[in-house]
Amino acid sequence: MCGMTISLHRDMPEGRTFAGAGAKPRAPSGSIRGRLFTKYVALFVVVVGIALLCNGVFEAILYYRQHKAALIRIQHHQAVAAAARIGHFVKEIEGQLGWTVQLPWSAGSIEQRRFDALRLLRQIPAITELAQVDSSGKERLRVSRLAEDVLDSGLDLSNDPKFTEAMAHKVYFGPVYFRRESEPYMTLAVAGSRKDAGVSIAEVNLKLIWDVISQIKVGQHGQAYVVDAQGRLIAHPDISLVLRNIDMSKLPQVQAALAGNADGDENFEGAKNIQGRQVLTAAAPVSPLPWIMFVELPVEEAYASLYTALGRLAAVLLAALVFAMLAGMFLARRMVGPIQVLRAGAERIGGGDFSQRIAIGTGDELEGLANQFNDMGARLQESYADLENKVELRTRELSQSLQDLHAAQDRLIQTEKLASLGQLTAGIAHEIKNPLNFVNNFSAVSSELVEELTDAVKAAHVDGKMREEIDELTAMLKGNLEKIVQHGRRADSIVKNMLLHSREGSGEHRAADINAIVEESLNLAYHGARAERPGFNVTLERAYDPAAGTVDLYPQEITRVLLNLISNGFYASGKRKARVGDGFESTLRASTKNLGDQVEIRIRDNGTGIPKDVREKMFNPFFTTKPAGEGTGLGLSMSHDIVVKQHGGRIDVETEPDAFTEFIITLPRTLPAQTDTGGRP
Amino acid sequence: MRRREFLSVLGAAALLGSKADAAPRTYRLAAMNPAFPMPEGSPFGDIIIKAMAKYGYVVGQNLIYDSLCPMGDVAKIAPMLAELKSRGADAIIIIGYPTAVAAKAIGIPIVAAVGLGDPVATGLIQSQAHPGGNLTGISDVAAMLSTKRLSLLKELSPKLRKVAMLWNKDDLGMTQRYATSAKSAEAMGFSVQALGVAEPDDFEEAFAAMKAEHPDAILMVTDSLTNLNRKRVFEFAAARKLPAIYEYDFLARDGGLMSYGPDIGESFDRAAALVDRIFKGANPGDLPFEEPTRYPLVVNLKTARAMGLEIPPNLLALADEVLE
Repeated sequence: MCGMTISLHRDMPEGRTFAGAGAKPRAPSGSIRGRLFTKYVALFVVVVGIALLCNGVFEAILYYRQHKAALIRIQHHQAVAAAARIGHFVKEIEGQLGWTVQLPWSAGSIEQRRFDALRLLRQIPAITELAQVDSSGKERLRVSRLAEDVLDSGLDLSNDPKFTEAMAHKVYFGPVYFRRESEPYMTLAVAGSRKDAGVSIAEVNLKLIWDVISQIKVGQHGQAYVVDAQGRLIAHPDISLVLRNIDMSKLPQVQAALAGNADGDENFEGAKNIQGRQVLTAAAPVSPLPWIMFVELPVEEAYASLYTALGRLAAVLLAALVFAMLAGMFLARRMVGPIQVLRAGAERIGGGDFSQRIAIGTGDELEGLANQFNDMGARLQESYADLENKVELRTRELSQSLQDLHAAQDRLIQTEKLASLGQLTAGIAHEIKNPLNFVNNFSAVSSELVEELTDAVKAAHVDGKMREEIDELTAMLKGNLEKIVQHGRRADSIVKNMLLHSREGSGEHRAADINAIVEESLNLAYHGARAERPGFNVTLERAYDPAAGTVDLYPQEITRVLLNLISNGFYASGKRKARVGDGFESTLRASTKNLGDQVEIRIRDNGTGIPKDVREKMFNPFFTTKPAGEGTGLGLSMSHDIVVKQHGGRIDVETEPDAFTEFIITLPRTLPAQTDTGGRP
Repeated sequence: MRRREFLSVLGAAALLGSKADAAPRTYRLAAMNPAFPMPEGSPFGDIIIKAMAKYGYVVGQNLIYDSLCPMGDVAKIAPMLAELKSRGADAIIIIGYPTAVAAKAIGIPIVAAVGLGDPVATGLIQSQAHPGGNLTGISDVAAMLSTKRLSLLKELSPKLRKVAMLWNKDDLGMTQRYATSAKSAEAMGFSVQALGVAEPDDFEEAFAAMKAEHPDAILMVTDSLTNLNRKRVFEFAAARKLPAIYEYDFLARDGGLMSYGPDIGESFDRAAALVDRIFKGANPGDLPFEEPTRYPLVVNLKTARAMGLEIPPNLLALADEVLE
């Protein structure tokens, strides 16, 4: 309808995740739109309507006043003009009468006067009767339309106002009287300019004014009428009214005019006329008579053009209002539409759909607002994503921490376990060491003694059989002693290890090249193994990260760990080779890797692998899978302690039975402070 | 849509006044002259129709004109009026006092145009200003005019001594008029030969009386009866070289020597105006009787010459109409 192209539906198809969230407040959204829309339209219409109405009313009032003033003016002019015509009518009769009083009575015959009088009657139909009076007031002649002419009636009019007034003022207008109570008449007397010319007295039939009055056009249905000084109707287009001898003085407009306002511009608005119609009336005096001319116009007609104009004005007003309403609707739509789109968009953004974009192309503040909403949405989206990343990170960190905590806890338990065990071990080792020294020393001495015995026996002459027996016995003794020495040493080694175990922080920590330490340990272990088992063979692989750099550590301890792990690797691969046979090539791979503030060392063998049940227990002290006599069961336990407790690192294992075992030592570049002293019991 | 309705209401309001006036309706006007018929085409009929046309009534458009004439038979007047009424007449223009008397009882508006006499004096109405009843029209001051007529006759023949007066003695109005005339004639010093007639046959008797008594002039009081027999009077007067004066101009035009009386045209015109008012809803009883204003003096010079009569120049000069 109004060309609104703003819509959410383009980028928001139905059935989207947030459609449900958006659908719930949709029900009141119609009424919200309705309210705002209605408000806008109502406001617009009210504002425009009031402006138009004020203007219209103002204009109407102004027009009404002007129109009325003009009407009054025009009507008054009409009244004056009409009065002039009536005045003219009377004046003409007066003028004609004047001719009859030109000559003195001494001149001319009475017969001639009679003839002149009759001729006058013929010329002026309004004169019904004409009397001529000589200067003494005697009636000399009377002619009439209706009666016989009378000559020298001898009637004395010398005291009659018709005569006296006329003689005094040259002209006399008698009062209006009604013959047979119906026909209006007036006496008009004119005196000659010469005193001896006498007076002519005419009875004027005022009904004849009708010819004049009926021709005065006042609008379409207006009329003019004349009343005398007493307010009686003399002339009216409706002759019946005149003949009824109507007293008009009851009409307010006539009353006012009789009171002396005849010449005023006063307009007796809305007063009813004698026929009961509402009329506008203007009045003017009829000179030279004491009559008043009234001109009246029906109110409907007088105001017809006014009403038409007002009607037009009203129509224009109405049209303007309708237009205002349409414009208001249009504007409201333009306003409410985008607001609604904004609201819906904001709602969706509020519902969590940050990808929502509000499309408003109005190019005004609303579009700006929409853009701000969009920006806000984008920011929220970013923030949300950021937040998620952070949460993920924190979660990771937390789980890491938890893991660390668990490890620390494990370590703590292990440490406590080992600590108590270490104490015990140290005590036992110490106690055992002295008797063991006795055993070792005395077995060594005994072995030497056996050799001395052998030598001594050699010197003595003993028969062969005997000698054989002695040699056999000494050899057995020597063998036993050697076993005692061997196992004593082993026991000694165990004790030593036990003592080592219980005593940490041996040596000094310093920054050491990790690659060098690994290489040294590898060589040591290899040669050690070769020395121990001449047939030993293994392929060594090295993959040192040149960037591994230096690590702050206890070199002696780390070397022990590495030796331990490498010899374990040799052992495992050798064990697998023994099982698989010649086709198998034992391989051990040592690698380092720079991890930034950490360094990773991997020792990987292709040996038998570690079964799952073993893996859980392999860091426990005294746990070993090697046959009795070959391992102390303290190697991995010690390694664990050194790496984890002493250096704050980590030792992990990856393994697969009959495939490989890889120990991964991760060491921090710098030693943790708390383990720096290493002075644990 | 609402706007259009509003505008049409406005328009209707503006038109309201004029619409009410323009309701087309056909009126039925009847006329009755007891003396001679005046249908459309007759002199009086045409006068009436012409007068009505002045007020916007045109036969065939919004006026139906209807007339009946009892041809002097007074007894037929009432039934004929009833007939006119039953034909749906809205108003009847009548002529003459007997018609008025009969029409007063009929109940539909009656406008008396001519020949009514003084309706107050005859008791037809209460007053000229407020006639009341169903009758209005033009009152006739003819009774008073008799002296004027007599003086005009005297003007014509100064030796006038004896006037013969013809009137319908069965007509109260005419009888009254005759009485007034006779009184004024006597006041003027004339002797009066009263020739009351009641039916056409009486005229021969009247003529015989005049032949016997030799009046100097004739004054004919016009009513349906005398009017119907006017030609006989004209002929008699011409033959006897008797100056005569008649009441209405049409009689002079018809061959009478001279006439003085109210203007018939004016009377019908005023009657038509009254009919117009009645058609527009006025109650005839509220419409005042009107008096004629013009009294034309008509002299038929042809008749005078035929009689070998010399009309004094003064009289001729005063005549409003001279027929040559």
